[in-house]
Amino acid sequence: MANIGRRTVGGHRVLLVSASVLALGLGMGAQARAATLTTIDYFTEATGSAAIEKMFKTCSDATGIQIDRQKVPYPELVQKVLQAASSNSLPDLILMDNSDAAQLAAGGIIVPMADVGETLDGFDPSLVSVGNYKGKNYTMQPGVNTLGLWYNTDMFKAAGIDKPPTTWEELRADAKKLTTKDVYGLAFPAVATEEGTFHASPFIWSNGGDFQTLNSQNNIDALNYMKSLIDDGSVSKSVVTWTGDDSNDQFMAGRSAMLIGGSWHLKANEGGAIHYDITSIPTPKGDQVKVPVGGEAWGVSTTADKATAKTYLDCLALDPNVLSWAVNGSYVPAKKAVLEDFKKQKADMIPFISSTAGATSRTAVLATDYPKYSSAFSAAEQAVLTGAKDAKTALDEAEAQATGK
Amino acid sequence: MLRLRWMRRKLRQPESKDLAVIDSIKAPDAVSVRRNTYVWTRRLLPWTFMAPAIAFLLFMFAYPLFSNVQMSVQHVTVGSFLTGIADYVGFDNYVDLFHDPLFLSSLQRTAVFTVFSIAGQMSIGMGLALFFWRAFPLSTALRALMLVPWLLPLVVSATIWQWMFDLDSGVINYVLTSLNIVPDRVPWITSVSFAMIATVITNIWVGIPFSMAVFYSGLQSLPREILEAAELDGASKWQRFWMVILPMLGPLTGIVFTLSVTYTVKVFDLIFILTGGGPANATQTLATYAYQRSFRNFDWGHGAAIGNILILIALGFAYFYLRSYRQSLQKEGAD
Repeated sequence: MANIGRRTVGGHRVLLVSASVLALGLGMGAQARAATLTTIDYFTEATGSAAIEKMFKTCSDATGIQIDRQKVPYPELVQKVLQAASSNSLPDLILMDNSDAAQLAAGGIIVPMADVGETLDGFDPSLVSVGNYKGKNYTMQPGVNTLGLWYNTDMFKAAGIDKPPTTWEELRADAKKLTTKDVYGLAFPAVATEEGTFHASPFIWSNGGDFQTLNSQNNIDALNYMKSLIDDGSVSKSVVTWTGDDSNDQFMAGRSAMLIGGSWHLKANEGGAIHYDITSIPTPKGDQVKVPVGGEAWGVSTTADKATAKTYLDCLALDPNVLSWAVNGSYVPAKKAVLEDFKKQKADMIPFISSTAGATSRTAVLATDYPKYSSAFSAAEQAVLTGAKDAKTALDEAEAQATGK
Repeated sequence: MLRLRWMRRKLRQPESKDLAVIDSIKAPDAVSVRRNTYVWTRRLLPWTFMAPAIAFLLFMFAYPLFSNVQMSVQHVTVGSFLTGIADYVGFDNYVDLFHDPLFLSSLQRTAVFTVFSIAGQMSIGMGLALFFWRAFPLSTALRALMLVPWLLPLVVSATIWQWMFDLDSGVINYVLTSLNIVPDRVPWITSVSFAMIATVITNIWVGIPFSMAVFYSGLQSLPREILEAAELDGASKWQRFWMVILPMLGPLTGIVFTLSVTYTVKVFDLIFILTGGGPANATQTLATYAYQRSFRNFDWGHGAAIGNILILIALGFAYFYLRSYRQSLQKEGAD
C-alpha cells in the first residue's frame, strides 16, 4: 500500500512539473512566435546541409529570427509540403526545386513575392522570370545551376583534338574520334524522369524546338541527332538507365570523354582522378546555347507571417550572402552585382555563367502541365534512343499521351 | 472480505433458517447483479478484447481505402491539399483510364509480368523443394542459404541486379560473352524487348525462397506410407510426382499461387529501382504507373483510380486464396 501511495504522490509531482513546463513552453512559444520561422528543404547530405546551416546562422544572427529547420529527401519534399498543407502545419519558408514552384503556386501554397513585399532588386530579370507562374514571380532564387559540356582534356590531347566542339557536327565527329574500346565519346543521363528531359532540353531548345508541342519537326530532328550518336557507338546504349550522377560517375571514372552535366557536380568532382575542362553545350550552328535553369528557390507559404518572412528573405538576398551561397553550392549567382567577385573565387564556374545568358524556363508556358509533358517526352526519348520507335512515331504518341487525345 | 466469504458460504446452505430471511431480502438484488455480470462478461467483454483490432482495422485499412476511393472520383490538384476541396467528377477518372493507351498496355504488362514470374517461381521453387526433400549432407545449411534472397531488402536486391544486368560492365554479360554463349552483349535493361525479361528474372529470383519454403514444409508433412505404397506398386518417379505428390499438395499449391499473385501484381520497388518502368515504358506496370500519375504528374485522381483497380485485382485473387484455404482445412478435417 505504501508503495502505491508513494507512486501516486510521485505521479502527481511529475504531472505538476510537466504542466508547468508545458505552460512555460506555451508562454515562450507565444512570445517567440513572431521571431521564429519554420523551413523545409531537401539538403540531406552533409555538405549541402552544412552550407544551409551556415547561411541560417548568418541571417539569424543578423535579424534575430530563429529558424526551425526540417529536411527531407529530395523526392519527398513536395509530398511533405502537401501533407503539411492538409494538416494546416505548412512551414513558413520552403526551399524547393525551382521546377516545383509552378505546382505549389498554382495550388495556392506559396504566395507571389510581391505579396510578401519582396521586390527582388538587383536580381537578373531573365533569371527571375524563369520562376514565373502566370506572369507573377513566386520565388526568390539566390543562385541557379545549369548544364555544360565537360570534357576530358587528356583524352582530347591524345585524340589530337585541340579545341572543344561548338557545333553539333563537331560534337558528333569528336565523340566518334574519342571513342575507343573502353571509352565512350559522350555521356548524358536519359532516365525516364524529369532528369532525362532536363538533360535533353539543350538539344531540343537549341534546335528551335520546345516542350509545348512535343511532335514538332525540330524536336524530331533533335532526337534523331541524339540517336545518331548512339548509332555511331559514341554514346552507350545504357544511357537510358543512367541518372545524372551515373553519367557523371562514368565521366569521372574515365569511361567517357565528354559529359552533358550540371554545375552541381563541381564540388564532388574537385580533386578527381581525371583532368577536365568545361564549356558550353554545342548547338546546331554554334550559336548561343539555350539551357534549362535548375537549383533551389525560396518560396513563402500562404500561412507564413509575411513581415518576418520578408525580413529574413531580405537578409538571404544581401549581396555577400548571395555570393557565399553561390560559392558554397556551385551556383551561378542571380545578382549581377556579385558576378565579378564570384568569377574571381570560382573560375571553373565561368562556362556556366556564359550559358545562363540563354537560360530558358521549363515551366513558364506549361506551368502545372509541365510534369505531364516532361514524363511523356522522356518516355519518347527512351523509345528513340533504344531504337524501339522512330522519332516521329514516338513523339506523336507522346503528344497524344500528354494532351490526353 | 472475510465477512463476505462467510456470507457466501451461508448462502449456499438454504436450509439455514436465519439466512432464509436474508435471502428473501437480497434475492432481487442478487439476480440483477448476476444479470449485470452476464451482460458484462458475455456481451461487452468480448468487444473490449476486439476493440484494439477493430480500431486498428478502421484506422489502418478502412480509412485509407475509403480515402483512396474518394480521391479516385475527384479531380485532385495541388490546391486540394490546402483547401481540402476537390471537384467531384464521378467515374470520369476510370473512364479516362480505359481510353489511355499507356494504362491499357500497363495492365497487359502487369499480366505478363505476373504470369511469367509466378510460373518461374512456383516451378523452380517446387523443383528445389523436391531436391532438398531427399536430405543429403549439408542440405539444411544449403536450404537456409536459399532463403537469403527473401531476407534481403528489395532495394538491395534490385540495385545489385541492376549492376549485374549492366550492358557494358555487368557480370551477366561478361559471363555470357566470355563463355561464347552469346555473340554480343545483351542489352538486358537498356532495350525495350529485354527489359521485361530482366525484370521477370529478378522477380523470380526474389520469389523462389517463398514457394520453396512452403512446398518443402508441405512435402515434409506428406504421409510416408502412401509414397512407399506407390513406390512398391512400381510407380516411376514422374508418376509419383504427378499422380501422388502433386494431388496431395493441391490446396497448398493453391495457397502459394494466390499469395504469390497478390504479391506480384503490386510489385513496385523492384521495378522502380531496376528500370524505373523504362526504357520507354517497357516495364511500366499498374503499380509504377499509379506512382507516376500521382507523384510525378501530380495527378492524384487518376493515380488513386489505378490503385483501386489494382486492389480489385488483388482482392479477386484473395477470394481464391480464402477458398482454397478453406478447402485445405476441410481436407484436413476429413483426414
